[in-house]
Amino acid sequence: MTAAPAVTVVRTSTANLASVLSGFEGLGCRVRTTASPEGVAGAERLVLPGVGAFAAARRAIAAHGLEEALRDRIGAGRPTLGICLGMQLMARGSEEAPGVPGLGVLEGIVESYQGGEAGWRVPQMGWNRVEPADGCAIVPRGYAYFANSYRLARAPAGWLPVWCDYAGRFLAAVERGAVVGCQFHPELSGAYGRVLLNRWLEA
Amino acid sequence: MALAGAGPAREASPRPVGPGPARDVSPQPVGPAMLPVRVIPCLDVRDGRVVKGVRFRGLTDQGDPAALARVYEEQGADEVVVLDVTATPEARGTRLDTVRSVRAGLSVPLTVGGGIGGVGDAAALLEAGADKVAVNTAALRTPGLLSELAARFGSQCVVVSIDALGRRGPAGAGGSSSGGDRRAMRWLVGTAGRVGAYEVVVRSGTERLAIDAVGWARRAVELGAGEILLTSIDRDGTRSGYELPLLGAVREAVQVPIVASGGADSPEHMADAVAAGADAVLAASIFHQRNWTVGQVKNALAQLGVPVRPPHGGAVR
Repeated sequence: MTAAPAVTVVRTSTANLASVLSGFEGLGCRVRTTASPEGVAGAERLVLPGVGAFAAARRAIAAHGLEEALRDRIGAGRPTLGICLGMQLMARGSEEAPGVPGLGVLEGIVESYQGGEAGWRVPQMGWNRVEPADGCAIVPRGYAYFANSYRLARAPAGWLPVWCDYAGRFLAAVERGAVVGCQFHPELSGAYGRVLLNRWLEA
Repeated sequence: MALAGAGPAREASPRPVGPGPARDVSPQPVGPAMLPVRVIPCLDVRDGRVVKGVRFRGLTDQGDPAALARVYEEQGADEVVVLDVTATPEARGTRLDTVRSVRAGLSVPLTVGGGIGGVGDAAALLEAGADKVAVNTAALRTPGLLSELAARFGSQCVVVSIDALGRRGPAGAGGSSSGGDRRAMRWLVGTAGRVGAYEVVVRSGTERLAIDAVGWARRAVELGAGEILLTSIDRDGTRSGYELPLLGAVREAVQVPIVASGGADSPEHMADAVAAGADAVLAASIFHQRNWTVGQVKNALAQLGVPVRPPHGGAVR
């Protein structure tokens, strides 16, 4: 067994990170947090988590000067995992915060669910079945835990899509090499999530 | 695309293959517009120990919440709720220790409720490892609390826990609230509407508030709650099944997920709650005392036509 993998988690606000930190610690990782561009740029493996509102999280990224470092490492294909709002922040923007630009590394605008009249609850809160496209190497097929009111509906060019269905088809995740965005929470997805995280740690 | 209109429920729902169950379950109790029903064991914790009796084979320390939560996850629990029933403020440190230790061994969502007095308590619990906080009395007492929690942490973190008592409940159940509580909650009396069949109660059901339970549910969602933990005080501990008309009335009023609580003693009770509008079913004694595993309950629910996540999470290629 080689040295425990080092994982760095972006911490820019009071967002609840305990489950993410505990999830990686449970897999034997050395986990630290960062809020600096140097920390983002220098991280071997970086997690961009996110709960809460798109605009506030985006402001926090800007306030800490992290945009360029995030875009650079994602562009270079260095191991990066965006979780939930962290994936949404990778898009061009969100209906949740019109006019607030995202990081723009994923084409498309994050949209709200249009399911109310058909009886779909918003937020989507619970386990849903995800289906990776051929070629996906990190996100497995199976049930993952979601807690979200917004999502990307179309596959961005240049990324492998992982599909899910909730009031219509949407993107459960995207992959490009060791860069992964998950709309769901792998750290809360039990054995399924551990498989995913272990694959990402080895990618 | 291939699944258009079908939704995930059909895939998630293993149908009985042999003759149907003895109980008549047609038509199917659930529509397509839902996720697999979450099965949620509830741990009542006091001073760091699980307090409701637990008869559990293969677990040496039956009162340790972290050990129990881990066993439930392995059995297929979709989520775990820890309700801290410790009354004293001094015990808050113990509660945080409990949440930290449960979190360390758990990789499914953890909801924590009980005695959350304000934003500070909620923030501390989330920091310690809760994924959601269930707020009860404080949300009634403090008009801005749900909105502030939703703004800071997102609605998906904010559960409003509502204890409801039928207006025609047993005579003498619940004294009328008076004094401070009633005054503190006056802001709600106007906005929640006329009191209908169910009234909000606090202090384990001993104080009635003259606030309509369905109206409060609607108002709480407007304020920012992303989920409702709905407990029938009439049913709690009776093992007679969930209070179905209450579930139906709140279902009509809100779009957010509803977790049914109070009265479950069998998978049939859970299937009935789902048919009445619940998205998730919470239970304690069926798991702690009756030696049903979560997996057995889920298999029974599947036989009843209720979509569930397979106990082992489905195929992983």
